[in-house]
Amino acid sequence: MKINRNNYEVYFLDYHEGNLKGMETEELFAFLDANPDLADEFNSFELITLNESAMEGFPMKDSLKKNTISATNCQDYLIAFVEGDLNEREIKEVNYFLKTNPYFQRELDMLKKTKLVPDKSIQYFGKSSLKKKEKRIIPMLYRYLSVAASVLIIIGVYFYSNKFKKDEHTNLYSHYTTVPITKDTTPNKVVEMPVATAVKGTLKNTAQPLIHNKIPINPVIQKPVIANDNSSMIVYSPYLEKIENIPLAINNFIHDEVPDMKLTPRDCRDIKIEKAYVSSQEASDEIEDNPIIKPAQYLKKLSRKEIEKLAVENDALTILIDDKKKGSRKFWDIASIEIGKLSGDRITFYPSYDKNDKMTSYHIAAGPVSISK
Amino acid sequence: MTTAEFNECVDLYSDNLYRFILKNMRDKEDARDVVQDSFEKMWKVVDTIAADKAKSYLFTTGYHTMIDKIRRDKKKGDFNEVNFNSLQHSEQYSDLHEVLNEALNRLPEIQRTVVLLRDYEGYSYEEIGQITGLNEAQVKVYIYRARVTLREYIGSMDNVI
Repeated sequence: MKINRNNYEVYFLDYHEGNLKGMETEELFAFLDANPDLADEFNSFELITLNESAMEGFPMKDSLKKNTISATNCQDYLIAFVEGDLNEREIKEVNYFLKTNPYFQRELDMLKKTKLVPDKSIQYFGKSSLKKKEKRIIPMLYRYLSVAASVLIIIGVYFYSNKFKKDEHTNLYSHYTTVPITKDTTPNKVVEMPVATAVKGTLKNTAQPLIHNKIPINPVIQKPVIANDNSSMIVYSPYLEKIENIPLAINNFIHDEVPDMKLTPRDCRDIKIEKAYVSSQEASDEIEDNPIIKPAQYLKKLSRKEIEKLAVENDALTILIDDKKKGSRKFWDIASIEIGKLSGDRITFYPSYDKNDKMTSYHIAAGPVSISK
Repeated sequence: MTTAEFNECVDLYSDNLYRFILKNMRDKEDARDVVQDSFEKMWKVVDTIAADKAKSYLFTTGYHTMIDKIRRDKKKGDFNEVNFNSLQHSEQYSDLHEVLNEALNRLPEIQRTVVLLRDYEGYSYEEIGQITGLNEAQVKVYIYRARVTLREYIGSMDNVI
């Protein structure tokens, strides 16, 4: 590099610092001769050096230093070691310290002994009392059940509270069953008797009520009764709007004394038959062979809409009623089924109608007891 | 948290909480009451607590219930001071476990609490701080002091055992 007016400062500085060689020095002075205006600047250029001793040191140097483990502070390090608070570098330092100062190994062992270990034999007895039962979701069906049960109780209380009062003023306590029997018996005759005691051609007037609780308005709820002889009997009542499980005997089907004229649609409308029986194989054969009137014809008159199936199987004439055809299931249907499941007894709820098809009352029956209102 | 998860918490944590409270209160009936109260309190807010936070909630509730009960029963001594004179002893101990138990009983309650949470449950300083309402540095200091006290006690017993 050749000295010129753009870089002469570098040469000036190097000259004063003694960094110029002989040739370069000569070149510098030749440049000064050629440029006398720079002579003052060259002469004023002096090397300024800082006096190191005049500078103060960092006053808090010690505070920047990190502690190292020593005999005076080793307990803190050892506790931190036991607690697992040290990093990898610090652990190495502690290990080195212990290696060089084996006396403190005992201190570390003692600190390790201060770690508490839970006594597993101490247990909380009575955990079950702390536990909670699962929250149950009550289905709608059970809500219906609750309502039904409540209504049943209210009706029951109401009925029993009024029962004896009514007993004093009315004579409608017996259970009327109209039993048209053989030729010389006037149809629709009202007799008081248990169905099962009827005998062909005669009538044992036992005057024993079918249901013993003396209910004023009485839907008759009977369990199926199988006639065990040739008794000619149809349980039928114009006063009763529902009769269940009517026992049927052979003569009802094969003789013209069947009270056909009594079985008007209105009367039949509410008759409900779940199962009917004939008494013997002979009777069954007779039913099949007799051209005058067939069981199906007769029974269809009883309930033209509800009978789904008629069949003679073995000795029994089976009549199946299709409840589903009556329409959608109602509240009482669901309630009666579910309460029946819970109670173990069949509980039925059903309405009564007047001649104009207007519902007049509800009946509730369970086993031998029925309640009407 | 579901009912099933709550019941699982009973199985998982009731023993731990009972031990922690019993070690602090040293009265079985009181400890049982505190555990029962703690679970009842958790049941009241069971719908708002996540299952993974249940243990922390239980110990926090248990700790505060215990403190309330101690204060109510006026059983609480000086909470922060350790009576070093009480470390002098003349009892006979058969093993380290008994010595430690005795030393633990002599710790100030706050030191005992934090060291129990640390050793029994393995909680971090931060978690212990959340349970006890202390900051992390305070927890650390109390644990260090407790270690020194326990070490001095078992050290002084070293020749006795």
